[in-house]
Amino acid sequence: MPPTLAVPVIKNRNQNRLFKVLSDVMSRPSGAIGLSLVVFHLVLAVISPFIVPFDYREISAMLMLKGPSLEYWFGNDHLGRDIFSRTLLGGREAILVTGIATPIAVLWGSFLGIFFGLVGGRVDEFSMRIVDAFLSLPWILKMLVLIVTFGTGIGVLIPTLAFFYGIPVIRIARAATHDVVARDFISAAKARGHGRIAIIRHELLPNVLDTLMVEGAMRWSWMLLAFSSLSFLGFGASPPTPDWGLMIADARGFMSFAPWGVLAPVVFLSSLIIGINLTADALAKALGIDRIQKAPV
Amino acid sequence: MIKIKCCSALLLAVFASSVMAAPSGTFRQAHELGFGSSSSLDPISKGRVFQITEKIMSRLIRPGLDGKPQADLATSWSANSDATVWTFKLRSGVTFHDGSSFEAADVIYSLGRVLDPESGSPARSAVKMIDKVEAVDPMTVKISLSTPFADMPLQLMDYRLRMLPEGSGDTIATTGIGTGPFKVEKFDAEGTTVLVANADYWEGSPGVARMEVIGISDGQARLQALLGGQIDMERGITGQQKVMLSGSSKFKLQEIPTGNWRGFVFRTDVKPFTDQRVRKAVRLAADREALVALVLGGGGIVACDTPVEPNDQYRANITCPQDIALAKKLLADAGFPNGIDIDVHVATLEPSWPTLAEAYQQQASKAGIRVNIVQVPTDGYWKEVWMKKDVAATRWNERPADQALHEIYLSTAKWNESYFKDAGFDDLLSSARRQLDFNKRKALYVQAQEHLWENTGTFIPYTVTKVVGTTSRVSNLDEVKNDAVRWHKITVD
Amino acid sequence: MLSMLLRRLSLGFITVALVSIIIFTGVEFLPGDACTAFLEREAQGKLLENCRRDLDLNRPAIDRYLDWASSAMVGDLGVSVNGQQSIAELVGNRMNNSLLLAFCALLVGVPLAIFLGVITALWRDKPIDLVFSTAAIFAMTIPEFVSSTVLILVFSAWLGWLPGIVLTSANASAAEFFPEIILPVIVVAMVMTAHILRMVRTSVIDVLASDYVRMATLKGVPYWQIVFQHVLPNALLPAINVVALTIAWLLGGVVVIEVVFNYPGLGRMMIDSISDRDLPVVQAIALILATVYVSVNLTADLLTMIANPRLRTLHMRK
Repeated sequence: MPPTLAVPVIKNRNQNRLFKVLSDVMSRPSGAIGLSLVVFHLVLAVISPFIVPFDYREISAMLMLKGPSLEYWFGNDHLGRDIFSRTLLGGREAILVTGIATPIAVLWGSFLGIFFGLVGGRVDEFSMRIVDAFLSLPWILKMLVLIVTFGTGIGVLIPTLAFFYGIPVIRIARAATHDVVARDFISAAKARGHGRIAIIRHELLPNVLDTLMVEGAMRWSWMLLAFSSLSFLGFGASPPTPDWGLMIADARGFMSFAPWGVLAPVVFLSSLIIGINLTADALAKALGIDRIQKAPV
Repeated sequence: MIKIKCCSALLLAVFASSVMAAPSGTFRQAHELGFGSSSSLDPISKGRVFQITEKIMSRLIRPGLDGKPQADLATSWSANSDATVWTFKLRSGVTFHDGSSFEAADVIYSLGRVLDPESGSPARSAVKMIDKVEAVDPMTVKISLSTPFADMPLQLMDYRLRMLPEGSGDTIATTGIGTGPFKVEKFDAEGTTVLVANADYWEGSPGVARMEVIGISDGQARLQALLGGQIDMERGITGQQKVMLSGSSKFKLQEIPTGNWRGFVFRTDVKPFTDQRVRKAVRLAADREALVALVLGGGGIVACDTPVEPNDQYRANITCPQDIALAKKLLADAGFPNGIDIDVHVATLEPSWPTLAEAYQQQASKAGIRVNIVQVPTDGYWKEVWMKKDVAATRWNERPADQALHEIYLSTAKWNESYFKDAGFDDLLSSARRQLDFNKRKALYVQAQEHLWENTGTFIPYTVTKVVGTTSRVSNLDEVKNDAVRWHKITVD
Repeated sequence: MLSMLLRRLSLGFITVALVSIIIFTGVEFLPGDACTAFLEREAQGKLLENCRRDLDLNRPAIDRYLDWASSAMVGDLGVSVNGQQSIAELVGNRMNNSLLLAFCALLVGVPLAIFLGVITALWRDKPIDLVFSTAAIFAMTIPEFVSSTVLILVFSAWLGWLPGIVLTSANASAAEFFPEIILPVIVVAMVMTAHILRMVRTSVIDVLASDYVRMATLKGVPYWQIVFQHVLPNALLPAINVVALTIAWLLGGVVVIEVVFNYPGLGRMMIDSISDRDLPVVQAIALILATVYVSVNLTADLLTMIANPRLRTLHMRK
């Protein structure tokens, strides 16, 4: 896109608005709790390698399935590894993968969605059929085909998640675009003789952006759920990577005997996802969007 | 003294009553559903469901409780002087589940199916030395071999070599007609397969009236089902899970050493492993006792890179403690004074591989062997990684000593995973097969294993001890390996 | 109305056709095939050749796809790898089981969700709303494998009240799945209820805030009359959509629950057949799920339209 003079102005406006929205989010109890949880997890993901007390790979026959102790706060897993260290580290891969994949998904999805929404006609019709085709398949089927083909590394998971989680965004962005287009000010802008790109930038984007922000937050939480479910099924993070989903899968068999192995990763994983959801909720309220809930397809 | 007598009398009475009584109760167990909808009751098919075939079909010879060959459908056997022609007397009065009687023609048919290269049975490698199977009379079979083979009975104990009615090949996959203690009532690999007692079983009527073999692919779900009392037996309990069950009176545990091994293959045709000193160094760097404790939770027996199982009569008695100094010296002699870097390929196909790799990584680093663990996808592991990458994880199920050595280490072996080419070793094996004197034969097999310890590229740190868990209502389950269990004996309360 | 219906049906057909192409291409690209997956180490030489010949894997992919598509058109989905059972029957059994699970969960979940959704909306921001809204967020966000595992632990291993693992065969009748199905139904219903509850709550709040409700209030229409006559009918409309999407999700998206409970549904069959490279089965499942998705969406749109006269004229809304 060619640079225009209007850019700094918009940025400034957005910054002010962002600040306002953030303070609105923080003023709601659910938003404050949610955002603090998210920030806590993000900070933890960055600093955890420097603060964990033990090497997460250190296996020990003496410590197998030992309960929490002063030395090992959350106990030890079936290989005698320190659960506390592993739990602190356990969100890094999930957050890294989903943290990169979410913006990509929202970006490409909304770009295409806005495009189809504006263009309309046969291109739009046909593209929506393809979108429908992808949406009608369960997430796991789509993901597995790619993961089985290319393996389970980060390099595969990021593009896979970004691709499939971008598809529903197309629909949402397209619908949002339709809503905005139907309003008068776009036709007014057209009447004033503004070009398409200018209309997108000045009229459409600011109005669609709110929807996309909330959508992005929701995508993120679903993607985290998907990632941990994949790990749980053995298609996500691969051992010995400490990952919550994987840790739960490993510890599940010992649950009646050593419940601490499941407990710690469950609390951490759930608190992050709940945090994101609370934030998204508060964000939607702050932005005044009546969010239509969808099933996690 | 009197007390003991009285007790044993009581035991005997209980034992006798349990055998005499009419079959009663239902015994439920799970199978892994390894091959999904390709699952089959054909004992020689790749998709065979062993947990079913073991109960419905019999072999000519089975492993006794001591692991040695014991009469099953063959009552006695003898060989000619150079062990090339074997004669088997068959058990008379045995009938198949469909009512037909078991005769020599069935043996010829059953073995012929395995030997037919077109059938493509994986079991063929166990008996490839068979040249011809003939009937001497309806109750006597003569098997001629292409090479002398002193331990032919051991080969016929293979868990796949089960006797089927003549001409049943096209239908056996679903009918499962055999001579075993149980008959198939309904086969549904992915759901519940129902077996009922075969009152005509030659060893006597079974103790259990009905067996249900249920397909549960998820290992955790199988364990949960056992814990919740929904199934009566689970054979795949890990050393770590054992801890959980051992404290409870609701369950009984059996620990049965097997010859199943896990390990790493260092390809002997690839540098630096072309050098015997490097191969020995990477194996000496391992502390095998610690590996058993760490990876298996103690549920295993140390192996010194021999594929022969711990209780096998031919197992060589080698010791192989970790020797970092010697490993370092060998590496230095081979021109690597600063150690070597290796990529070890593993997949979660075998859940213990990644752990084994990690534990080995920590141990080997002391000898200057820097291990980089490469995790590859489970799918396509055998095709793309194993026998392709320089160092890859491997696993095998137990097999008779001769078969293990031949199938995996002989220069010309199909599964020579380490590309081991050693004429001296090949000679040892072929003289062992020809040697009819047991002690001399044993000496040759032991020598072959010692030769491997010095030269092999295959690192076998341990054999796995199988933990079988049953609910406490199950009695009389033989505490032996899978394929030696006498299923007609077991009873449930 | 009729022309719109025909149009939607033909569009739906195109979607389903696209799904079959996408899935066929996807699975074709997977490394290995049904034979290498089955034979593992023995996948070499003659064995591999025979297997590929038996399964007809040697012909070009396009030929095989066209063959498959033309028989699928007339309802023939082929036979399973072992050549014993028809795929339509195998997949049909799984489908029934998935529907059973979905039906039970909907039976419990939908009334509960609507009831709680309305309650939380009417008493918005009151303690009762906070309790159930928070509970809904928990139910939505706690991964299914966690809640399943906890339920098995508590009700099966500790209390011994309910069987934890489903051992019933795929082709069993619905009645035989009780009581094993109860725990999986609870997990599914929990997630579903939470989603629908939030949806209903939002839409009731929306309607409460709308002009005509305000107008009615000003006119002095009693509160409960407004709620029952105006708010509920209008607010429940959008819920139809969520229920529709939920059905689609229930059929294919509850793989994790099916794995944990060993439930013989479509989802587990789907991942198993991918790892077995059992292309005909993958195709059949994808086809069914796509058809279900298209038809529940169509039904939901039609229902919405019938229930809401204003939309009847606006059929190009989406």
